[in-house]
Amino acid sequence: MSVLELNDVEVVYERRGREPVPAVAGATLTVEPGQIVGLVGESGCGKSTLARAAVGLMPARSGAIVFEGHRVTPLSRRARPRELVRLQMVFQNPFSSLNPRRTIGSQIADGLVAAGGGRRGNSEPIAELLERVGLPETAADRYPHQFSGGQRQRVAIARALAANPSVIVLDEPLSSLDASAQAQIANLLTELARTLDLGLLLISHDLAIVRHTADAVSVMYLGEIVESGPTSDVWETPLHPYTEALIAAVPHADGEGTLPLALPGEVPDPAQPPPGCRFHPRCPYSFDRCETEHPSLVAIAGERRAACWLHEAGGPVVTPSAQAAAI
Amino acid sequence: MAALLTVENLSVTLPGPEGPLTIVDGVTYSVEPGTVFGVAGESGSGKTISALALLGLLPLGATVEGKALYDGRNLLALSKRELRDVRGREIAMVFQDPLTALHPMMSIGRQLSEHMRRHLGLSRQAARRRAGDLLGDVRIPDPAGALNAFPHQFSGGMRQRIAIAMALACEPKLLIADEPTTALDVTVQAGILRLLDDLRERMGLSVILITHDLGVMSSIAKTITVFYAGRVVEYGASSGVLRRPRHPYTRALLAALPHPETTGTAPLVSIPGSPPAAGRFPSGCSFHPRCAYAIESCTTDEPPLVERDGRRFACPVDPFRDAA
Repeated sequence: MSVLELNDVEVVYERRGREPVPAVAGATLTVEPGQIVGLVGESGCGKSTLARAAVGLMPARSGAIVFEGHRVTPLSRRARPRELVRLQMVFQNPFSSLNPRRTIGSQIADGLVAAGGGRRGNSEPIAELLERVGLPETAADRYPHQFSGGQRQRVAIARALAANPSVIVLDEPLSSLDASAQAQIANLLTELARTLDLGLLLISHDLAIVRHTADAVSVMYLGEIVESGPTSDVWETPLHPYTEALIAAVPHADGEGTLPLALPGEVPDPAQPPPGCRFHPRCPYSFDRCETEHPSLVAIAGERRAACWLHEAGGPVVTPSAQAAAI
Repeated sequence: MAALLTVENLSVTLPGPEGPLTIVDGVTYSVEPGTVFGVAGESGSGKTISALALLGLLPLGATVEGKALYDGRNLLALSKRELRDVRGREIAMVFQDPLTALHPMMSIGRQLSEHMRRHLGLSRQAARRRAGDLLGDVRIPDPAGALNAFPHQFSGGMRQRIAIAMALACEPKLLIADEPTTALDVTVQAGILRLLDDLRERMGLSVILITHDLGVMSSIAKTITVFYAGRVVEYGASSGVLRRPRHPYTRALLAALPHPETTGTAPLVSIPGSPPAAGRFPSGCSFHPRCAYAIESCTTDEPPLVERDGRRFACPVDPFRDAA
C-alpha cells in the first residue's frame, strides 16, 4: 500500500483583486515505502507548491492527500496532528532552514521530542542520527555556521530522521550544493531509502540527479503531471513531448561539444493557462485536437502514464517524434 | 593565432580578519579570439575573483599581482579612468543573477541606451534604435515593446537575454559570463548557450565562461581551465580534458556527476571531504587531503603546471597517463 497518496490535488493561490492562480491543477502521485519518487519540471510549474501541499504547509483546494491512511490537513494554530509526525520535509536552503543560534544537537532533539521518542539531554539518539548522515558525534555541540553547505544539508536530513519518518519530502535538496557535495547527499538519500524503507519525494529541476537517484518520476508542466513512470523507462522512451524536450535540453559533460536543444517559447501564466493541452503552444507535434480538448493522464502500458493526444490508453510505448511520424 | 587576452601569474589577495587571504594564486591562461574559454571549479576556487580582477572590480583592500595583456595593454596596470573605457566597451560582463544586474525601476530601453550614449557618443534616438536592434539580436519577442517594459515583466531567461544585450551594446570583443545559466531551467539554459555560440560565430565574440557545470562547459567551450583552491590544476582543449582528464581532481569532479546514460543503480563516486575555504588552502598540492593518489611529496611541494601530451596539468604523480 502506498504510504503517501496524492489524488487529483488542486492548490490555488488567492490574490486580492485579481484572478486566483491555480498553481497545481489536479496532480496525482503515490510514494511507496522505500521508493524514491522524483518530481521534475521547470520553475513555476507548481512542483514546490505540490510538495508543500503534500506535507500540509499549503491547503489543497480539492483532491485528497493521504499519509498512512490519515488525511493530511493544513497546519492550524495548534500543534501538528500526531499521525503526521512521520511525514517530514527537508528544504532547499540549509542556510535558512537551520536556526543559527542553536546547536545542531538541540535542533535534532526537536525532532525526537516531536516524535515522543526522546527526552532533552539524552545524547545517545542524537549521536546515532549524526552517524547515520555521516557527521561526527562532536557535531552536536556546534552551530550551523561551523559547517559547509553539504554538511548543513546532512544536519537538516538528520533532524527530519529524528522524528522516525516513513516519508520525507525534499524540495530541491541538492541545488544549493557543489558537485562533490551533491554526489555525497544523493548517495546518502539512496542509502537511507534502502536501509530504512523510507519513501522519498524528491523535487528537483536537475534531471540528471533525478535520473540517477529516483525509482519513479513524475514530470510536471504548468500545474499538471504530464507523464509518470519508472525513471529509466521514462528516460529511454519519453512519451510526452515535454519530457522529450526536457531530456534533450540537458547538456552532457562528454567533451563532444554538442549544444543542447532549446525548447521554444515561455511557460505561460498559470492564471490563464492555454485551452486544450496546456503544452500545445510550445509543442512541435501539436494538432487540431490539442488546441481544444484537454488530455488527461492515462495508463499507456504498465506503470507508464502520459497526458498527450498522440498516445491512447494502452497504446504502444514510443517517443512522441516516432508516434507523430506514424500518425 | 594571436591571443586576445593573456593572463600571466595572476594572484589576488583579499584582506581577512586574521591577515590577508590568497584567493587566486599564480593563474596563467590565454583566450583566443572568437572562441569560448571555460573556467570551471567549485565555489571558493577563485574563478569569479580572477575574472573580476581583470576589470578592476575587486573589493576594497584587494591586492593584485601579475599581468593581463589585452590588445597590447596590461589591464592590471591601467588607471581607473583608462579602465573605465575598457569596461563595458572592450570587455563586458554578465552575472549569474540577471535581476540584480538590471535596475528594477528603469525601463529596458533606458538601461540599454545609457552606456551606448556614453561610450559610443550616440544621440538619444540613435541609441534607442540600436537598443531595439540588440533586443532582436538576443531573440526578445517584440523588441520595440520591450524597450518600454521593466525588468520584472520578463522571465528569468528573458532577463538574462536582456543582460547579454546590454553587455553587447558597445560591441565588446570579450564577454565575461559568470555562471550565466546557473539560475535558469535547462530548457532556458539551452537557449542562452545557443545564443552565446551564435554571437561568437556571427560577431566573432570571445567569451570567458565561468561555470561549475561541466555539461555546460562541454557544450560550448573550446578550451577549459579547471580551478582548485585558487590555482589552475588542468588546462587544455575541452574535448581532451573532459574525455581523458589527467588531474585527479578533474577526474573526480567528472566521476561525481550523474551520467545520463548509465543506469542509475551504482552510487555516485563522490569526492571525500569538502573544498577548502577561500584563503585557507592546504600546503603543497591543495587537493592532496582529498586525493586518492597523493604521495608524500604532494603534502609539501607545490606542483607546477607542466605541459605533457598537449595538455597542461599540475600533478607530478600523473596516475592517468595511460588511461585511454
